[in-house]
Amino acid sequence: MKNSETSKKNRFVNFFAKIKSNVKGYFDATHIKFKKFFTKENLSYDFDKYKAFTALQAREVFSKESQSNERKDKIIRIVLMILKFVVVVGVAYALCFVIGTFGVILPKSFFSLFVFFTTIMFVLQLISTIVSSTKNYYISEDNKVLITFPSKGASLFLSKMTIEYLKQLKNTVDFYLPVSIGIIIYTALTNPLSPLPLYSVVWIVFPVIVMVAIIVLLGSLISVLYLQYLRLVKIVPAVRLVLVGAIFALIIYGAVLLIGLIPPDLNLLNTWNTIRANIDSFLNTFSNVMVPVSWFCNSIVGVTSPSYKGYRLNGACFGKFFAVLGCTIVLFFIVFFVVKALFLHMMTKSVDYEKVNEKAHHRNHVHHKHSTFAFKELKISFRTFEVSATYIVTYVLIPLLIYLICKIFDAINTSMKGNMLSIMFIVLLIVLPLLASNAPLASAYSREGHAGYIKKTKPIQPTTPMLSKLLFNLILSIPSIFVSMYIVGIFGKIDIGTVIIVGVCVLLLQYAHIFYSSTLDFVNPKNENYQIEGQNAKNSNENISTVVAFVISFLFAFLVFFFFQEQVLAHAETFLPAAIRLLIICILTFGSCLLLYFLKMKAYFMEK
Amino acid sequence: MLLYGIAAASLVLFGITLFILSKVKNVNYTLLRRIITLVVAGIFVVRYMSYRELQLLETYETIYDFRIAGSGPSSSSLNILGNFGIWFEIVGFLLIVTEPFFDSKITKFLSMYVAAPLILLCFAIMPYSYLMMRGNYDVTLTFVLYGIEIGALVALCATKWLKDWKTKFYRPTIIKGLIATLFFLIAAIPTFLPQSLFGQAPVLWHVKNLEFTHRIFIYTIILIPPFFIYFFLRSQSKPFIRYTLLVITLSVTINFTAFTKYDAIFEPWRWPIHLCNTVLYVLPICLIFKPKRLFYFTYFINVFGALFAILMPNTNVNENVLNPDIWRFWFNHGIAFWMPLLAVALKIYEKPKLKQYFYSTIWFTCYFVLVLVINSVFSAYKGVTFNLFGVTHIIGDSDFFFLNSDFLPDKFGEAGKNIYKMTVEIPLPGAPQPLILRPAFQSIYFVAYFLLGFGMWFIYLLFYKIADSHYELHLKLRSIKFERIALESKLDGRSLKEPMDANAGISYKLIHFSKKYAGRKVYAVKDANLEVYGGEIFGFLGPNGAGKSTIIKSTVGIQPISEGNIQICGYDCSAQPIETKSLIGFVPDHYALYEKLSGREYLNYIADIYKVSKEDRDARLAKYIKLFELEQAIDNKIKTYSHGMKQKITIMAALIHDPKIWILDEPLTGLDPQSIFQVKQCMIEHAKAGNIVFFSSHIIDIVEKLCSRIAIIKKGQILCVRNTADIEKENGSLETYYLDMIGDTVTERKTNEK
Repeated sequence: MKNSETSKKNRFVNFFAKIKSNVKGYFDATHIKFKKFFTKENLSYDFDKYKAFTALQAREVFSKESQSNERKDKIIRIVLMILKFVVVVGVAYALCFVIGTFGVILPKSFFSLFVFFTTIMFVLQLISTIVSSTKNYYISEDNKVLITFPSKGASLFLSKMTIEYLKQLKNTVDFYLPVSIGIIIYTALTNPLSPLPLYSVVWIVFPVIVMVAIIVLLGSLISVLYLQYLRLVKIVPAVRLVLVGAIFALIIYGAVLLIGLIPPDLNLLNTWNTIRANIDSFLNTFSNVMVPVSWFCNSIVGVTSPSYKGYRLNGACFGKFFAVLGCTIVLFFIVFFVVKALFLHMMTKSVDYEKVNEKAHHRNHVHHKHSTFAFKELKISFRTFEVSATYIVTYVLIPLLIYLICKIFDAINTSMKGNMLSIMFIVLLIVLPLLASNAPLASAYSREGHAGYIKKTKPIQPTTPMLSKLLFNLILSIPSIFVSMYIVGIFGKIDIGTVIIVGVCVLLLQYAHIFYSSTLDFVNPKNENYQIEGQNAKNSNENISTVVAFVISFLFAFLVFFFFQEQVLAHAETFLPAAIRLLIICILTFGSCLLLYFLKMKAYFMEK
Repeated sequence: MLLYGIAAASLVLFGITLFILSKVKNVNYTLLRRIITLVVAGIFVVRYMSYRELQLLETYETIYDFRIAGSGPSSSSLNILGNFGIWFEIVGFLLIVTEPFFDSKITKFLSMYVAAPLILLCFAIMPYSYLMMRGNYDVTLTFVLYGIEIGALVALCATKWLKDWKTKFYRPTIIKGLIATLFFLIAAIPTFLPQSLFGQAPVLWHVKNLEFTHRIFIYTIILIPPFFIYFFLRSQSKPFIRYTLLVITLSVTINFTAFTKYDAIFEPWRWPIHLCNTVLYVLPICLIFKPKRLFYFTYFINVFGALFAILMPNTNVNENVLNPDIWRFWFNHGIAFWMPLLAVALKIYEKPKLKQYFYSTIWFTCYFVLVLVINSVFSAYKGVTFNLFGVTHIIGDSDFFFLNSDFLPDKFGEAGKNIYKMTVEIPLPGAPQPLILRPAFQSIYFVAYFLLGFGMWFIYLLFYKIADSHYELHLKLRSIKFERIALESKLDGRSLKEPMDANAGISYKLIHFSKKYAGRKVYAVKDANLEVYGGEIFGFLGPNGAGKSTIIKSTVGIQPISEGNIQICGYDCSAQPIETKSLIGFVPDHYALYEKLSGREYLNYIADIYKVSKEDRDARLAKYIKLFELEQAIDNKIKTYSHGMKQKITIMAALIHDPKIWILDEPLTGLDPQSIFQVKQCMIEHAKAGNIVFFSSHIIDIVEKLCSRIAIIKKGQILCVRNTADIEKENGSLETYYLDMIGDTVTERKTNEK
């Protein structure tokens, strides 16, 4: 006991001493580097090595294992990319059309909406970049190889920053760019009061290129701090638990408060003007406060003036654009000299904390041959923060979301068809996130790497260890669904018997998808990929699981609407017959997924 | 009586002709039979489509009031009997006529034991069937042809029996034949039969708008038959699959054409050339002659159109659900939907490529233009009369492919109607109305159909993938079942948990073991034989890629065995995997551990799997923790261990259950000298206890000192199995012997040493 108390005390002392020495070390290193800054040696970098590193990492990051290099397949990929872009533009246009047609905001507030959207995307992408760049710069598996090459740190750092930039540019082109283009096209074609100029659809590419650069540079800068946070969390894991727990509790508290603010009688039609005025006011205030983002948006679509209708690019806008560009270049130099100076030092420093050897005094625990797998999985899951947090967040947020939606729908005076649509929407909101959360199960076995193969050498049927991987989802789904359906029940739109049966249907669908996702994994295992690439290996099984989750969710929601609507049209007193039909379908679905799970395990597990 | 007489005469004529010619040498009997059946088929077609001047064949529903069950010229039961005769004659006719072209056991069975009784029954009730067709016994060409037809069919059955009466049919053939008969009977149901049997159904049963009755029809016509037919046919031969699909399609075609008058050939506006109608003519041609482009046109364009028609039928909502028009619609569209898909799923046709889609688009364009012209021109000339061959025809309008009417635009509300109303009118000479084109609607329709058809392609591919994977699963499970039966027979009544060879003792045997990886032609290991017994430390040597790891992985269960056998203490590795693995402790070449567990937790987990008791595991863990000096680290996470420590944990995990066979695949890689010594001590102790230690290594010195026997493997073949003591006596050192065996000569070695 005394020994362990002393060792804990020592750990804290060591920790703070380490921080102090690290900070001193950083300043010293930076000071020395800064002094050596103007030397030729420090300013130069090897362009050829930079190109080689960039090409190597780009191939690793952007190529897919199943991609073929045939001309026909390349053409198909390009066509699909263009189609995807066009579809997103179309969806954005359609959303703007809905917003405009229903008068959610005034026509002149579309610019403010654009500013709001850009801000949100900027923040989200910045967060994503911080996490991604920290992993890419300092913790990536390929660093072990890249660091051994005879090259300056500058070449390596620049290549990593280039890759990060290309990744974020791809993400921007996938989403932000087509949505922005959709907004611009909509206002240009249909907004007579303040159209955004159509030519900015072409011009937007240049500001976006600069915007992504800013995000990557800021992300690189903040990644230094984020890495320290990660190190702190490794040493004192409780920090992360406390931080995340506090944020989570705040979010839930805030959400419950906000939901409580929803009035019991929401008459959107009568109060629409007030609501719209409030939305407009918020957007305009937001736009006025977020000056840098407004500037940036002005540099894309121009400014408005009393002398002409709508927005136009003028000299001031180009001036703003070049100002932003100038800031970007300055930021680049700051990042280059600050982060690059620290880069090698941080990359080569291990993130593992110093282990404390304790003399063996623990006991051996005996479990049953079958339950030992469950205990092992639970231990590993609880010790893998990301996994357990994701599950807990998903299963807690779903009832909260349902509570919000039910409160809103309850406050709205809807027709019978409206009631059916609201039930359909509620069911969709329960089923979709539940099923989508099963995607990690499509890689649960593969993530074990070679340890998964070694399982085949043990004298056990594969069903026991494989089923143990599903326990988390199988068990946690039940309270989540139970609470969600209870909330639906207390709002009284459908009778209690139907609520129970629909709840059982949702549970059966969830279980069916769980078994389906797991089947995808062991029929097409990727153990080698995870063994070589680590936990970030790409896995097409997860994508398939997610797509199927979406399809099942929408199909189930549609069936709920269709069958319930039939009952309404037949003037039935209860929805029970519809619920029973749904139950039969769900039982068949679950039964077939379960059967295939066991049959395919029997047929393929040992072979694959 | 006259009808019977004609039939009897025909029977005699055809029968004798066939019988005599069958006895003549140099006469190809099969060809003769084919010719005769084609003649009979021709008679059937002419009789079926008899023209007006030869006593017009009226549509069935206009003769009698089928709103009353059993209605007809005779008594109710005889009328029903007559209708059944019409039904059975279609089945019997098709089975007889197609049999010479698909000569197999099942077709023989069908023609002898199914078609023959049906045809004989038809012969017996001929007059009632004819009366239901014509309403009277007037002697017309139809009358005569019908008699000849039935007589010829009986003759064909009789000659078939005479030739093949000795053929034995076993139970699988009989069962398959009976199942196929059921499908043929369902497909050949005349569309007027349900109403004639049951009368009119309640009007409230609507077959539209996805109401309950509509959904029942959807499930029954487009879901259930293809499933059953697919599962029945997927393990049959290709000719039989084609035969079955052909008979089903022809049955539906025959019933469909019963409503088409012969004189419609002179009235294009009445041609059955709706898109889904064309399937009934195109598919039989595709199944007989296999023209690819024609088939893929049907596949891409018709299937999708049929699906839409099924979901949005254009039948009258108030029509009685047993009405022949309803049944005609559903049979037609059911076949149009699932028959092409089945043909691809059952591999009669290959899965289509982009090229086929391109050609089918061209066909579709031609069809589109054709029906556009027919619709527009005849609608313009509607009401105009003309004479042809002495018959007056009045031009009617047409709406092929719904290009003329607002049936489809109605579904899209005002927007659809507005688009439909955009017309271009062109006056035609002599036409009472101008030619009306609707370019906006028709272009959008064409493009939308083209794109949706392309999109559906991917959905079909998805379903084929699912179907193929299920079939593969079925075959795999069947082979597992057969292996189990083989194991039970080898054990000869003993329990499955007992060893195959009860006298084996502690032993490890490779018996003609071979391994070929999937997709490769070359064997990784070919015909390996080896025996190792208790108390031995056995070394396994070979260059990289020789097959050492392949043999080890197949033994421990990571990979399946391709050929031969591996036995562990008398248990068969592949047939009794659980029992085998409980006797093995395996140390892989690279540790694979759960890094988030501590060393102790991991070892306890392994001990749980092997059901090691608390006392044994406490004792063994304490012993090995001390031996490998892991006291300080055993309760830390494995993630914090060095390479050597992880390897030690792996070794401990392999020994925790005291295995009879301890297999190590290059276990000493990365260990320090002290650890290597510790591992060697373990191996010696373990062998001394009467167990087997089997290990592969590249460190020849250690193998030489440690092992009593060694085997050398190269390119998948075991070159030798020898005692190390004998090798040292003869060759001086194991290294010399090894290098000689794998191909390095003494001269090359001396050159390298210099």
